[in-house]
Amino acid sequence: MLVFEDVTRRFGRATALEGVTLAFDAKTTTALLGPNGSGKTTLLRLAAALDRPSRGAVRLDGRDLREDAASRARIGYAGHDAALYDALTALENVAFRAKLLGRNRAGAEAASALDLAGFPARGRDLAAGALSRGQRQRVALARAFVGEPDIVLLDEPHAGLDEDGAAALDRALAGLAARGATVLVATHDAPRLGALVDRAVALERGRVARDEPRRNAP
Amino acid sequence: MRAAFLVAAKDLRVEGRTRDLVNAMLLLALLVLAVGLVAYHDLHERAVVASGVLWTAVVFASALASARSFANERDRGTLDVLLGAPADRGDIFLGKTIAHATLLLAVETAVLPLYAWLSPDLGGVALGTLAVIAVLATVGLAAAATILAAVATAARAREALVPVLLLPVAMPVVISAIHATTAAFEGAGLSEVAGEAALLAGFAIIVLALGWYLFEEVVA
Amino acid sequence: MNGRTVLVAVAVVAMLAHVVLALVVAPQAKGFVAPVTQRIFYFHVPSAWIGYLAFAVTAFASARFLHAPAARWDHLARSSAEVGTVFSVVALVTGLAWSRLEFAGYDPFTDAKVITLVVLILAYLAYLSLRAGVADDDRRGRLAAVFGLLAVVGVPLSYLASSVSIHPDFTRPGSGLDPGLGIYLGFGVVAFTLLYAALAALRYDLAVLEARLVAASETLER
Repeated sequence: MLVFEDVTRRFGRATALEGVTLAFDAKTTTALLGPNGSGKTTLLRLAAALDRPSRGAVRLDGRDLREDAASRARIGYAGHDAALYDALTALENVAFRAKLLGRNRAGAEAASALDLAGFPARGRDLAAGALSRGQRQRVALARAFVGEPDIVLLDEPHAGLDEDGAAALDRALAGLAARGATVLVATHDAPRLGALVDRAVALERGRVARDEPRRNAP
Repeated sequence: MRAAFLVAAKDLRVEGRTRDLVNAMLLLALLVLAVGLVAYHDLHERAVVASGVLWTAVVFASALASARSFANERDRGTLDVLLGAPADRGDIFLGKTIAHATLLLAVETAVLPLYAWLSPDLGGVALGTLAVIAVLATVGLAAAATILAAVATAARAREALVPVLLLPVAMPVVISAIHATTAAFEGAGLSEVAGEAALLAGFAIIVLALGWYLFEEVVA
Repeated sequence: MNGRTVLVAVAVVAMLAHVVLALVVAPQAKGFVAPVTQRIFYFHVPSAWIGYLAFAVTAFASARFLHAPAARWDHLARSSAEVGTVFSVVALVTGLAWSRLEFAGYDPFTDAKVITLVVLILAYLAYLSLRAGVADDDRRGRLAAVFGLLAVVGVPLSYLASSVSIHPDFTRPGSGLDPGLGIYLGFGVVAFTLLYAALAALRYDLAVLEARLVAASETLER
């Protein structure tokens, strides 16, 4: 279980998150909603241990993320921008993550992850710098999926994807939910996710404004 | 530790494909050498100046490369990939230091023959001593440059700040390396530069340890 | 009369006393080439001492700040650094002036102590530049603290490196002062330390006030 305990994150004068307390269970897919600047990205980054809270703590199964390096193996993250190494190929980018996770057959697992993200077999040996935005997005998603993480954090994953890509992503999300993963998706496009989502949390200026199980996605 | 080698391998693989950093470092080293050659007409003067010119070039090349490397990681967002790894953040630091030291040694190897040419008696150069001193100095310098580049790129002035931060910290390396290299150019054996070698080794160990512990504070 | 006022008053009195003692009361030192300017010594040595002490304090405060991030350690680190920079520059200037007059054929850059003082000043300036270049309060303290700890390694090792590698041509006549004059030097060290403590404390108070002002204006904005 991923838990936010009274988390506040300040950047100089600005407050990105204020007193956020949330718990995310296994086998649930949560949509994280809110306008630009509401703190969605900050929340996801804190959940991915990429940032530290100014106050409060983020815990995975009781352990503070800041102190437990091993828990990062269980968290897959794909941010706003694809954040790829341009000089490495699509396969190498994903395999790098797999190797960092200590997977023995990094190449094979990377290939499966690329399949899951809907990246066609052709083009995997192209340098990431030469890929289109949509393709880069798929590589980033594959990197988040590789290694079968228990927690998957996605920041506006549909952005830049065409119909095929979006369909592949939807299938992947359904698969993750079936596997029992905890999925957190920040999105502007709630209706798109529709039936995949069990819960919707809305942020407003750094605070939790709404937290409800999905009835009809807003 | 495994993560350190993975990060180093990744850095070197990227560098092998783009050759951005190495090209910039080589160019800088050659330009500084050219200035040294042009400025000093007397053969004897040149010999004396050679090691100073060499290490000045190396330090600035190091500042340049480490600054670029971190600025790239931050700007492209790929630093997150490293931070997301289930490894001690100190291992990330070690990996980047190993890669940086490797690049520096490559540049030094390429440029050293040219600098030795400034020395009037090429046959008298003690290669063994030179190699040991160069390796010890480079490891310490790489460690300092890596942690300080991480610090500087988090600030507004970014890359411009790296040489400013690096010089006061790496001055012991500069002093010891220059004097030991001059001695090596004149044929000194390792025992004659034992003091310098010990200092370089000590510096490297201390900065590696400090960098390992403090890296987390800088990046996360 | 609060503690601060007492400290400042005592520091001022001590410094005034030291000036009088060093320039007027202390007898002429024997064995110096330029006996009158030798008195700079009573200001140079304590200044250098404070330059290094202040840096050690900054490093200590940096370590404490990283261990448990309380703003007061950051304020202390920064205050000590600002004051220390001034004393270090004074030490360098007085040291060079005195040495030039005292030793024939003096080359400051073969002197390990001069080199180390220069490295110290570079370290201070780098520290302050770094602080000036970070907007976010949280990060500024941490980044500066990391640099502080690295620099505190560089300075003493620079001294070691210089001592090992650089062999000066000039020779110092004797090892300095007659023992009887040591008491004036000792008093100078005490007076300068009080001055440092007073200045650092005032700067610290200013930093605390600035922080409160910022916090108050933020609360008002909300």
